[in-house]
Amino acid sequence: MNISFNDLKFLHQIGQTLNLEERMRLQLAILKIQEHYIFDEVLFWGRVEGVEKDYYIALGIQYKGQYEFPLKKFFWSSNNYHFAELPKYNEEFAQRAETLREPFTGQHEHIVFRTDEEINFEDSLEIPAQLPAKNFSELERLSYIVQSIEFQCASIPVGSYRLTPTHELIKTTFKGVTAELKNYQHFRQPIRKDKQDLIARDEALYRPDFLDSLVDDTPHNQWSVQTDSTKRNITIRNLIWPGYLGYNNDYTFGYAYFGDGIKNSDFEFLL
Amino acid sequence: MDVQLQKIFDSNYKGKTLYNHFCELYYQMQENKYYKAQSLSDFEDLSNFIKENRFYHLPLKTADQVNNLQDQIFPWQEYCKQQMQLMQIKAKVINATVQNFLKLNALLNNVGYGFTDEDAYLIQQSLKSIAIRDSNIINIRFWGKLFAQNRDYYVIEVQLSKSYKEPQPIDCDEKLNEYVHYVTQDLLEDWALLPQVTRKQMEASRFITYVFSGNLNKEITQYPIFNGKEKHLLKAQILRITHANLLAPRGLYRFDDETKLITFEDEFKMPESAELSTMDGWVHLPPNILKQGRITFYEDPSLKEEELNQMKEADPELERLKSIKDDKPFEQNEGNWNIKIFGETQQYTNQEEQPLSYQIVQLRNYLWPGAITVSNSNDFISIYFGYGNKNQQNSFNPLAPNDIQEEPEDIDEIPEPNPREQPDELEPDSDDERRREQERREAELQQQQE
Repeated sequence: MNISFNDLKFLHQIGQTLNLEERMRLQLAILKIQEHYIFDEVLFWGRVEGVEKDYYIALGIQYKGQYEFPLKKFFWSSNNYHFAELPKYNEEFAQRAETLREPFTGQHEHIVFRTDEEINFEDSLEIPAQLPAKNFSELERLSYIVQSIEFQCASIPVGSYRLTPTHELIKTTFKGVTAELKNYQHFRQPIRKDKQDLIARDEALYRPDFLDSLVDDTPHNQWSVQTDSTKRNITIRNLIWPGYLGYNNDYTFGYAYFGDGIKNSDFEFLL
Repeated sequence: MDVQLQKIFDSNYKGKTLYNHFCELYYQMQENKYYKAQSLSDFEDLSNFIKENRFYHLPLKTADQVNNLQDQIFPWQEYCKQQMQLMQIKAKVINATVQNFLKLNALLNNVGYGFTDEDAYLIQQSLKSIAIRDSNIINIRFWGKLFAQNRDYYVIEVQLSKSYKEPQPIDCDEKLNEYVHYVTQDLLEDWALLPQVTRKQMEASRFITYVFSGNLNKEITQYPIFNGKEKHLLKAQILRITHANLLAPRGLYRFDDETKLITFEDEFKMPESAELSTMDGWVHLPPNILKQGRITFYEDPSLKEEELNQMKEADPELERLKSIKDDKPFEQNEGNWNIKIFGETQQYTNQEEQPLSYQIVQLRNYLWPGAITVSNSNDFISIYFGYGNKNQQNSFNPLAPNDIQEEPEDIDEIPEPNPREQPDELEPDSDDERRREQERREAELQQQQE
């Protein structure tokens, strides 16, 4: 979501918003990111609520010079509004983090999983090449959750981006779409074979829907498309990650995450 | 190749061919004094310009088409009309305590929740319109928003002076249906009244976790079986959430033991911010709902006294106006409520040496994520934004169905005692029977011989 925060009114659909202090300090902090990094666009991604403190996430996107899909970089900050890069997470424990239901505490050093391993050097014939992993901290859990949500949820309307002949993504003049699920696609490198083929054959240059469509997501009831009374402001919500909201009207589009960072793993039973 | 090229050149668009367009373009590039076309980028601009500004002769519409021209329907007409109607609702006097939602929404926005000002205004007008409609209303407030798969629900809670007398089964509690709720899916449309719930429905709703679909009349197919449509489950969940989360600052209300009524305290002074920011300062306003699905315990006359006592112990009634400090703690947290402070935390003292504080306190319930109470030194509001489900710490485990009942034992068949006719010789069914028949015949033969 753009840091001018004009689009906050869409968030009111889920009853969330940013108060004045948050908005002002986030604007300053996000602008400050550009002091050290060069991005085409720096956006506010969302807020993950914790028990004591909240986390704010920003996203930097670089379109130019990237082949096939822009580069995304995430930044996080706690209530001190000082953004730092979101670190990589430990792959082994990351899967377990997805099904955790405890809320985030707000302290990023809080240890989520312990990884105490004792390596007995005398018994083994070979000395392991790497040291045992550090404990899995809450920051890594945050990192994993943010990247999961981005991968599974982040969506844009069809017709908002085009692929140039040099396979760069650019934003086009956006005219609005009707409120149907087929008009939305994932904002990630396509993983579906047919879309990858489209791009390989260069046909994607002429089509507005060259990224993975949301219609093919399983289970397909996870998306909820709603409009407001005017029928022009459309919001699209995900039920597996409650708190994710994508929005668009005739002039703008975007998405954000405002929630507690917990996945709704029981979703299939709830319908 | 030449034929194809010729075809492309002759292709027609609104009376002009491509070839003509190129000629025009070339002419403009050379001759036009005002636009000096110099480079490749100018070529495109010029081409576009020519396309847009040339006069293209469109054929006249035939008589049929002109006669059948439909009036263009202004697409926003319905919306404008409804919005205007809602904004103009006014009455001389409304005899009800209508919540000042417009002001309280600003309070919510300060903690990161709430609606836009425009939506809050529409909600305020809706509150007014419902209060005008029914003169029995004492109290009306905006309850919150329940998210659903297809269309969300906005809910308004109302307290009446005379409740509707709908026929209910005997084991239901009238007091449970004290709060009445109206629901809509679009603020500009009309509000629907939710039906009352029975005790069995309340009991069953405790075991179901369900995401509402948005259709009030949808049948609920979950296990354990819930006898009712989505509107009944909606009402049950709303009641559960209200009875668990509606808070009031300590000292605002007083519970009269004799009349069992809640009344306003005579001298009420809003507790200080320091107290409001701890759990001591808040109490539960509505009564607790028992596991049975009622407020007071129901003594089923068909059950024995022992059983009743056991059930009563497992399901105790709690005292009214209980402090929230005593709520069952959620997981490793102390208590069930998370308290955060927003806004200006600077402590001031005014000229009478009294502390003055502008801070805003937000209380969040862990067990019901989405239920919040926000207060500053003058106002407070309780509201709910969520899907209507409890925070399940364990993965969903469906309830096992009852054990399959065993078939009853087969009763032995006895032949008819005094048959009119001689029964036919039937083949015996099993070896046992065959043996028995054999023995019986031998015994008879022996008897005859004797």
